[in-house]
Amino acid sequence: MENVLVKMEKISKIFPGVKALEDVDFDVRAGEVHALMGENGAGKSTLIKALMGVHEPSSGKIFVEGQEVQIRNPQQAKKLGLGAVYQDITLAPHLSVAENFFLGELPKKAGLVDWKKINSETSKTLTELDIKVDPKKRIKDLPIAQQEMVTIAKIVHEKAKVIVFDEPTALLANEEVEVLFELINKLRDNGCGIIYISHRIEEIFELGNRVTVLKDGALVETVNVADTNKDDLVRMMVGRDVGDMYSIKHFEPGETVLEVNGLTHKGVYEDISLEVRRGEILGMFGLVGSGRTEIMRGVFGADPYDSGEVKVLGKEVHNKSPKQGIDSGVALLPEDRKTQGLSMGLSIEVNTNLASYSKISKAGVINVNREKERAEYYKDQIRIKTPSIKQKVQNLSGGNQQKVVIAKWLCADSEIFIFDECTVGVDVGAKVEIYRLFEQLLEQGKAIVLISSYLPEVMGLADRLMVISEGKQMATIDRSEFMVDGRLDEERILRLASGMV
Amino acid sequence: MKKMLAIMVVAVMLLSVALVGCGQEGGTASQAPAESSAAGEASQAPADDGAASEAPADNGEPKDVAVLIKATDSDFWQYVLIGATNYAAENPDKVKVTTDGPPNESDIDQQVSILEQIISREPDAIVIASTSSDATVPALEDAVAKGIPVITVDNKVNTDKVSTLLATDNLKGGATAADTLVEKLKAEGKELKGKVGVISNMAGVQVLTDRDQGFIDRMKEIAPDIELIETVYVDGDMTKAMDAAADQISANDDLLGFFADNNTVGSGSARAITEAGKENDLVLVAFDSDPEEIKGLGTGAVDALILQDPYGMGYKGVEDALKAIAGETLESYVDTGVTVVTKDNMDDEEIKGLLDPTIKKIG
Amino acid sequence: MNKETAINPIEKKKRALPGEMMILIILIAMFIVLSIASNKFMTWDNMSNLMKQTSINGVVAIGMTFVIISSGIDLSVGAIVGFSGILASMLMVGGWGIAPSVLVAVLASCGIGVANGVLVHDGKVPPFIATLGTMTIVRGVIMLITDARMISGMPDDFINFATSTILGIPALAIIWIVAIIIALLILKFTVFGRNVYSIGSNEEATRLSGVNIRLNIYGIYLVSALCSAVAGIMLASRVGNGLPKGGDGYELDAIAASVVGGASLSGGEGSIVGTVIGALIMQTLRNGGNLLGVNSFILEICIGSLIIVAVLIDKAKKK
Repeated sequence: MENVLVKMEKISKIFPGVKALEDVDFDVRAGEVHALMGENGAGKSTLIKALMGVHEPSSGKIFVEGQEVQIRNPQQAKKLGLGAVYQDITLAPHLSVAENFFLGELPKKAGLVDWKKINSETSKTLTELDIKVDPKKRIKDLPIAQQEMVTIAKIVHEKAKVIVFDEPTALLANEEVEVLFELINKLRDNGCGIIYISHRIEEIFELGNRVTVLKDGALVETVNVADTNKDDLVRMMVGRDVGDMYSIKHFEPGETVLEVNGLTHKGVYEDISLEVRRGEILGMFGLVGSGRTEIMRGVFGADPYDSGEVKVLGKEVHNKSPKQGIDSGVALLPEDRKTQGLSMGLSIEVNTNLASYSKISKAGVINVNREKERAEYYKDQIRIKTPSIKQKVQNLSGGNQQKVVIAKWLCADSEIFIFDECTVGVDVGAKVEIYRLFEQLLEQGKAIVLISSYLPEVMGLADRLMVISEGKQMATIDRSEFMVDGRLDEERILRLASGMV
Repeated sequence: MKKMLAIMVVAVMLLSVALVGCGQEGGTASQAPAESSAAGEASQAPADDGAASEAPADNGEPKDVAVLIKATDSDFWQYVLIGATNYAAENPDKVKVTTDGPPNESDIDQQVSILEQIISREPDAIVIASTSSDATVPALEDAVAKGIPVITVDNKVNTDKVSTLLATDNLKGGATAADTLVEKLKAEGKELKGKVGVISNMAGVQVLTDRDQGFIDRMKEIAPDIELIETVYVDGDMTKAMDAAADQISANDDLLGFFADNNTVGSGSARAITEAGKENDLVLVAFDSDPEEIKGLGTGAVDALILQDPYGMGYKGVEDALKAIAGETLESYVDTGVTVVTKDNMDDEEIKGLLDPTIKKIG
Repeated sequence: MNKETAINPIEKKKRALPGEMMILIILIAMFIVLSIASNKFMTWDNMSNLMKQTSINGVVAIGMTFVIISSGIDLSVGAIVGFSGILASMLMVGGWGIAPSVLVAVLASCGIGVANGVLVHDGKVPPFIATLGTMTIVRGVIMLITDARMISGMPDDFINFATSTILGIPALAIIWIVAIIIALLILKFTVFGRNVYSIGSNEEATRLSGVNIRLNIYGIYLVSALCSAVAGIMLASRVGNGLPKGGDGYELDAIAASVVGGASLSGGEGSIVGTVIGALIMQTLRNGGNLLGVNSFILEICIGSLIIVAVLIDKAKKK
């Protein structure tokens, strides 16, 4: 048989009052990528945490290379050759790459730290993995993608045999994803066992050998990737058929709502012109750092711009603050809902009303009945799953959190909705619901700008697609031109996004 | 733009501080040696009366005595300075006095460096209230070695080179407070049975610990049936003193009175007694004096104040300095004593000068 | 992500229980124990003492709660208590009427609050440092204008205010109660109140929701300074003098009251009711200690332990 590195048998984990995992079997072999999928709350993280010594399982057995082990803490997991790359970077930001590699066990020579050895060994590991980073650079000075690479290299350096990737592509741009995949393939070829968690189904087919689907804490099935397809996987995860996630109704566009002419912010973006009409989605695609987010932040008023003209409903506006942006009818649903979109510690009710208290207050005094009514109304209308509107948003799943952000802007009576990477960390079921919401918005005659670095999504939904590269607008492509020979022409878009015409 | 605004705010703040500072003109915390006005006058018009009759030592020039206090921010030390400068004003042909001190009692380093500057100036004698018993020792021994006699006041310094120590024996002072409290109770015809509260300004300060200890020991001796309530420490906070006294008043029906070991707790206890309307029922004996305590003496909230003699320390300190310059041997320790002030004697001229030595200030 | 949904329903219910419940139980327990230990505790006299004693710190703590909810901190409150008391007493002694003196002292103190706001928002100085600076400056100004001397000789009407009662309730306690009610209303029913929480929870998200962060930050530090200024006037009336060291260390008591009351130093959480209970718990401990003649040092150990225990309970509850 193949060499099984880790085997988990009948793992259950009971938190007070709830069964997070029930009798789950899972194993990883040397030289394979084993994908782990499931909706939020399906138990993926709990299973990984049981393996990494964060939570001890309530029952079940874990074998590492045939030996039964009890993993009580992360240090022990590390000693057993298990490593994990989490979504949030877990490096010390103020220390150098090399220092992070040797954190807690700096080699010494004659009582002093042996810097020569630290730097040379670090660069050796980095070179082996083909990662071009200076070991002396501080982590915080590196872009996110490189930080992630360094994290992986660190785990490799620690001689991990099994490496867990928990949504590693969530924060990466396309070309960075390619680099990451190359690295994962290399690790697999070296005989490592890879556990790969992602919400992006397409990635599983590109990378995975086997896939295990969990639902509600229980195992649904483990299958070979070659023997399954997208629809089957989605059905396994969601428990029902969702069809093509991206198939939404498209409408005949109405009058122009937003018009931008020659918008320029020196050094960030230049001479951007665009137009969005009622009932349509304008997709904006670009690599991370291409300036797509900054352009829309400029339109909204979150950041200043140098020159150019912005017209909302034919009227020229120059938004200098988010407040002016909102008053002019623009809504920005920012990229990172945790740090920019929501006050996580506050209730659904407050978050829903936050952008529009002026509409339900007089002389600064809130009409609390209206406040409650509105929150209840939108909770029902866009189906935010929660026991109560008093629930803190931090207790909601990613998809429901995103719905609260949408509710906030619906409350503010916005005409133009700018969605920036709105489905990151959102599971398939909730994604579909968010796309249905788009449909509703369009039906009501709103306009949508959809910023995304996930091509299948943006090409699946947009009526027109604008491609940005290094602050310049490369092309705006109509939906009718997306398809070539019956399939999406992703290549053309990617070429444009990398600055090739 | 925003930064500018912030910087401007800070600038305005600093400017306002500076303006207030100018308005004060040479207020507190002057670190540069400031010759007292009395001494200034003296040098302009030497011997305008029969001062020559008492032949001054050697060259006939007035002696240069440097007075260095613990802190400029407190009344007590200001009173010491008044005593010292008054002596100089009364004897302009014999002595001129310079005064100095760090802004706060906790500035031990600063006092040492001021002392070193004074020594390098080579005055004829130094009068010092040292903030620390040890930190100033090397400098003081250096001064004595250079032939500058040193008079210490208030605080003992750990060297036998100094000429004398003028200080209050606070243990004795505490005992005096106990005597006063018991006498007062007797005078009111009360039985020496019940409770007395001890309110202390701060824990861990030697002067206060001595006062409390002196009081408690003496009480046990002369009124063994009076129960002393656990000492309350209030961190120098007058409201906490009020709270503590008010709580003890409402908790203890058999409360006879309080002992408060300085003016802050004295004032606080007096306010609590006034709030409770018990001016005539409770006896309060407190140390030191401030306007609130003096007011309390008038209303009966305070029954007696135990006063040290900071003025005397300054006055006598300069006098002893002249003796030391003349080569006289002085007693190694002189207790400057305490005075008990009650409603009956508070209007005496002498007592008034003790309560507020500023009225005695010459010039 | 998964852990959020893995939270069990029972725990969620526990969290939904008002955070003030736990400390209210502590307070009630203390009242019961003290009533048994001392027959003087549950008397009108003592209760009125307790109210009076808590009121000054209580008012300061209300302002502090606004700042802490907004994820700031205001170390200058103690200094402002001292400043407003000193300024008011100097003006009164200088012959001004009571009302104008109080008004000027309060307004000047509010100016310090706005300065804090400017430093924090526009200067981007961390609140801890900004208010540490203003605290030190204000303390310095007090010493400079008073020569570190007590200011005496205020009008009797002013001094007697602190001892007066309205319907048997001490006037100082009434001011506190009024402040509590106003603060409750502000946090519960005004846009400013919502903004305070939201800024504390996520300033950037709040800004992107169109809230004018600058004005709100100014407002928050203004509220804090205003509360401290009022407390300073209360203090001056209570002790009958302007004390240069008045309010020394009150910032720490106020922070402790807020935190014991469930406010989180990382912002977004806290309540006026909690802070009121927090302040009462701390003062009840002191009051009880005095009634029972407990050793001062042991009492301090108890208060310190209480602060830590209250926060530990809070943390455990949130796990």
